[in-house]
Amino acid sequence: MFFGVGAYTTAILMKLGGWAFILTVPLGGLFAGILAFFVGLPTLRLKGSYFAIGTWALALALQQLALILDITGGPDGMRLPPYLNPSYFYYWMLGVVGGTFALYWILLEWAPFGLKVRAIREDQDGAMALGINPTRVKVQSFVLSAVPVGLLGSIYAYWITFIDPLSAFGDILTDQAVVMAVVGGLGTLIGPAIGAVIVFTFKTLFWAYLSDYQVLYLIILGVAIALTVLFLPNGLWGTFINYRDSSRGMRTQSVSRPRIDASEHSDEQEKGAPEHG
Amino acid sequence: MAETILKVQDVVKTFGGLHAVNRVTFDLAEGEVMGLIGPNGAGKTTLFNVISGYYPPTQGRIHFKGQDVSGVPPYKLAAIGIGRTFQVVKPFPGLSVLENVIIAGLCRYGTRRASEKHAWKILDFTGLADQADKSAANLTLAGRKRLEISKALALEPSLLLLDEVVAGLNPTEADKTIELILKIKGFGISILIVEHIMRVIMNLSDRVVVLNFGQQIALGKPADVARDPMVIQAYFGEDAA
Amino acid sequence: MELLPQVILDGILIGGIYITIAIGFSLVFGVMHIIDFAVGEWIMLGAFLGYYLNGWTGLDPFALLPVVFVVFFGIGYLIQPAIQRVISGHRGNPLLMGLVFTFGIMLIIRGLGLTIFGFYSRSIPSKLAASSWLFEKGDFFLTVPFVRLAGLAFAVAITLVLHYMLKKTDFGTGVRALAQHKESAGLMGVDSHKTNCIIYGIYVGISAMTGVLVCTIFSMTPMEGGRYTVLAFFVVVLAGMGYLPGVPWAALFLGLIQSIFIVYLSASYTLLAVFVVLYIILLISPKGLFGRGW
Ligand SMILES: Nc1ncnc2c1ncn2[C@@H]1O[C@H](COP(=O)(O)OP(=O)(O)OP(=O)(O)O)[C@@H](O)[C@H]1O
Ligand SMILES: [Mg+2]
Repeated sequence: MFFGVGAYTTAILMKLGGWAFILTVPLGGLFAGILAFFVGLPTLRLKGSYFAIGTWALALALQQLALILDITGGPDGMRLPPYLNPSYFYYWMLGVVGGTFALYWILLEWAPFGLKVRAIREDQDGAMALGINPTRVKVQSFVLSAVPVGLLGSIYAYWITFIDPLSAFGDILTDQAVVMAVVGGLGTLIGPAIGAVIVFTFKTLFWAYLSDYQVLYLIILGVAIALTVLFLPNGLWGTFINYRDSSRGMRTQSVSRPRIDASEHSDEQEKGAPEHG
Repeated sequence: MAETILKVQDVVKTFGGLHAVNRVTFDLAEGEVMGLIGPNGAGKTTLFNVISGYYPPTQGRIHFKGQDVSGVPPYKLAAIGIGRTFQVVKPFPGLSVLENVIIAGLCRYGTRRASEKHAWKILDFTGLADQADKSAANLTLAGRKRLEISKALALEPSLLLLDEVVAGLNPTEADKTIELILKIKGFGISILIVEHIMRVIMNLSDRVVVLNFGQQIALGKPADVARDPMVIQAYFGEDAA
Repeated sequence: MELLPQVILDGILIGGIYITIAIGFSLVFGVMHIIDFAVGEWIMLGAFLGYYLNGWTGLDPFALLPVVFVVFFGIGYLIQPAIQRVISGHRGNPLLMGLVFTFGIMLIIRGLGLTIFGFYSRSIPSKLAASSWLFEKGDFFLTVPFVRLAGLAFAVAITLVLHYMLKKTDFGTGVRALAQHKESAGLMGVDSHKTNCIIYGIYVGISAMTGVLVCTIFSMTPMEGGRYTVLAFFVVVLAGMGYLPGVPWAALFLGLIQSIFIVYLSASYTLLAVFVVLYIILLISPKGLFGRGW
């Protein structure tokens, strides 16, 4: 969905506003971020299910909007003037991806932010007792993961030179969002971004060579997702992280959330454990 | 008499039909140590959860430093000076002991570096410094309970809620923790402490509140409370028989 | 001419269909905390089975419902253990994992559906389809299409049967115990594995029957499953996740909103409008209309 927001931002601004491509890209990221903020704020307060459903439903609503508005060209979509220089786009993508990784690295490894994210993941109630506001950190992470995807969407629009509601918000994209999560490992901040890059590359190749086999694509995607989830509960990225950490000898268990045995002592029974909605 | 730091007024917390905490009222003075005792299931942990913002009170008010904080979320309370430990300890198991404490210091010290410096001081104080690089999941029970205290302390709280931090430790470890709590008291931090071990409560507390089935059945000096017939019946019942 | 009574009636009739779309879905969530992204795909598959059975046997779609139920009950029963595997065990976020897994299933079914059935839209003919009641009294005017009325009757019947099953039978007691507390239900002698499989089978069966209805009243293409998944989500979130008694009311509410929008504003804004309504309700009462959700 953030992909679509970025794509439409660039398409509309270039086509109707006559803007330069360079200027539209940051705006694509910005709008994606703003949208993430407004979706995240109500839904991230709630249980994970509402969040997942909320974002998905919003993607559909946006698609609907793109279908009925005039400035988006409705179901016919928008065509942009072609710019036939693939290496130009490769550099752009490299820039965005590199910048994203650098930013994430700084935030996660050097800034307090990374520690807060990890604390919430390990134990949300415990984190709250230490002054961390889980909703705020989650919204921040969500915005952070939306911006690069918006940027990629902007680049995609000019690269492929054609977008319509289906390619921008449609099923195919929703599917990819899920692959991002799976490939990238759920719950890690950086995972979805890595997944986005993989999917982005895959999709570009797919449209170039295999666009006649869309149905097959669905099935393959479905099988890949189902198998990954069934056998790699932490996603490829999470599995990699756990492997790395366990080979470093940092953690005793390879599961994402090792449990402390609370019943070590007879009067250590969980009774008043705060549970929040 | 010192200023009141915590005012618990007529607090009720129900779960469905169960009155886990039923009309509890007491004040805690600055620098005071208050023991909170009662049989299993009396509602002590629930009261802690209400005071620290995990449950809004069903009824009644809580004031902290003169400010009404009923229903204020835990992270805000932590920021204004309420530190707590969990009976069922809540370390971040995938992080090191040091990282655990750094996280706790972030809301006071802002940057990682400043918070790390602070964390080392805390760990020196609580005696966990030599285990700082260990993963929190690999600590012994005594270590984990100490980590709970370290994290709560890293917030630099003016009120500390300790939920059974001594329970389950062997006598040597227990003595060390009691000593630690006495030192914390020495800093002038107000403490509300839940413990089943009478020796601990009698040693540490200035006053004691007794809960039974959610109700407050006694409040007073440890020695007086220990002589109260209702308390003896409810709490020391088995011993007295 | 007075439009409002017709609008309300249409809303109730649409709402009836929404009940059947959402009720099994809500049940499954309530009992085992699975959000099944493939719900719309089960509806789609059910529709196509109904379509082909009708073609072969010439039987009325309403007579085919039991057959469709049995077939899909079996499929649901067999597939449940895989989903259970995904959502249990040491996983960071079981709910999300279940969601993603069923999303994968959804893609597979849709892909296979498109391969086998093609892109065309189908509709099952029914004798009921042609006829409708007509009330006319001066300015007052009301049309009640028979098929839709039958759809509503079916929805009411399903609701009552589920209600009876959960409240009055031993199996239902076991299910409710399981929904509330896994461990103690086990101690009470509830075979959680089997119960889960049966509930899942019932849900898939109901969804497939809904497909037959939808395909009779409207039409169906293999691409359309997703639309019904959205509707199921909307109803269930509105009702409160896993709060079964809320489903019929939420479904009727949604049906009314939709029919009001179609008549007084524009059909193309319907989904958008429903989404906005849902967003606002979630902001005000995160646990659904009744505040009783999960
Ligand atoms: N989240 C909850 N939902 C329902 N009931 C609860 C909940 N938390 C606690 N209770 C109930 O409230 C009562 C008080 O529990 P609480 O944990 O506060 O007791 P406690 O005094 O801390 O006991 P212990 O000495 O065993 O730690 C108990 O009957 C418990 O079962
Ligand atoms: Mg307790």
